[in-house]
Amino acid sequence: MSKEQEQALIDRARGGDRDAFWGLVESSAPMALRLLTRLTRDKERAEDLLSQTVLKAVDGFEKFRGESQFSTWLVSIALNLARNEIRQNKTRQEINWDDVIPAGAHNHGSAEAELIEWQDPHEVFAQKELRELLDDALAELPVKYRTVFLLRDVEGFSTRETAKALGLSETAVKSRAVRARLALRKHLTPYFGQKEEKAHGSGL
Amino acid sequence: MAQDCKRMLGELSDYIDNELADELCEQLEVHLKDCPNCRIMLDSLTKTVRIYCEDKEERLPEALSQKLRAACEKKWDSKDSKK
Repeated sequence: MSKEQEQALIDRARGGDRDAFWGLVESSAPMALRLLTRLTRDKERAEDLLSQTVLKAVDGFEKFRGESQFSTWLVSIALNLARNEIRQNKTRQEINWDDVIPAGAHNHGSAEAELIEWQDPHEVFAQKELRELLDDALAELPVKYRTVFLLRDVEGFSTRETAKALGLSETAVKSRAVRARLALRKHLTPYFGQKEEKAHGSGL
Repeated sequence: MAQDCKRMLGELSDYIDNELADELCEQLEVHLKDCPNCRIMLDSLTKTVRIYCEDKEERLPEALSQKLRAACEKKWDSKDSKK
């Protein structure tokens, strides 16, 4: 949806046009659902959180001032709800990624290890297995890195939009994005790395 | 690990995002020509980002969409009745 189309829907929705509001929701909700599903790893919980998100949006639409895109606003509501719920129902033990990516290292640390050339992941795994593998790797990232990776890299938010949706500085977004990428790459390398080709040199 | 690589590694992510300043970009590209390890790092980091972007569901499941719309209607009716 273009900016102009979105603005037209926002204007109509402000005037009480329910279909216009629904049009905004329909275009943004799939992204919110994808994020919620990957954050919670539970389809039912994700759908329930999406319902809560949309109802909150109906309730709070008067407060939406249009400073960000509607989708950014809806996603920020969804992420707040998800983070609260994840905090309350922590069922999964996350790996301490600070062991892998030291907090002091902006983007280095041992996450750079295993420099092995990657094969095409689609040649190594069937689609379903690949999806599970990717989701498993993602689930082991701490939520603060996972959320930034999902917004920034999966959904294509700009650094600025991501910062806005999460209430972070752009520097923090960049730093978390780098650490998430390095951590995921490290996690996935044993699966996608070409076994017969070792890294060049030994210092990495 | 070579110092140069460590330093360049810090720029790879910005490079992937096309957010690296021109001067640093040139330095990085010169370095990449001669450094197979950094090329591997760039390639695998790029693939990491790309592979997660694939296979995105762009529509809500129909049943969920209908359920959500019905819930919205109920909420709007309730808001309208309070006005």
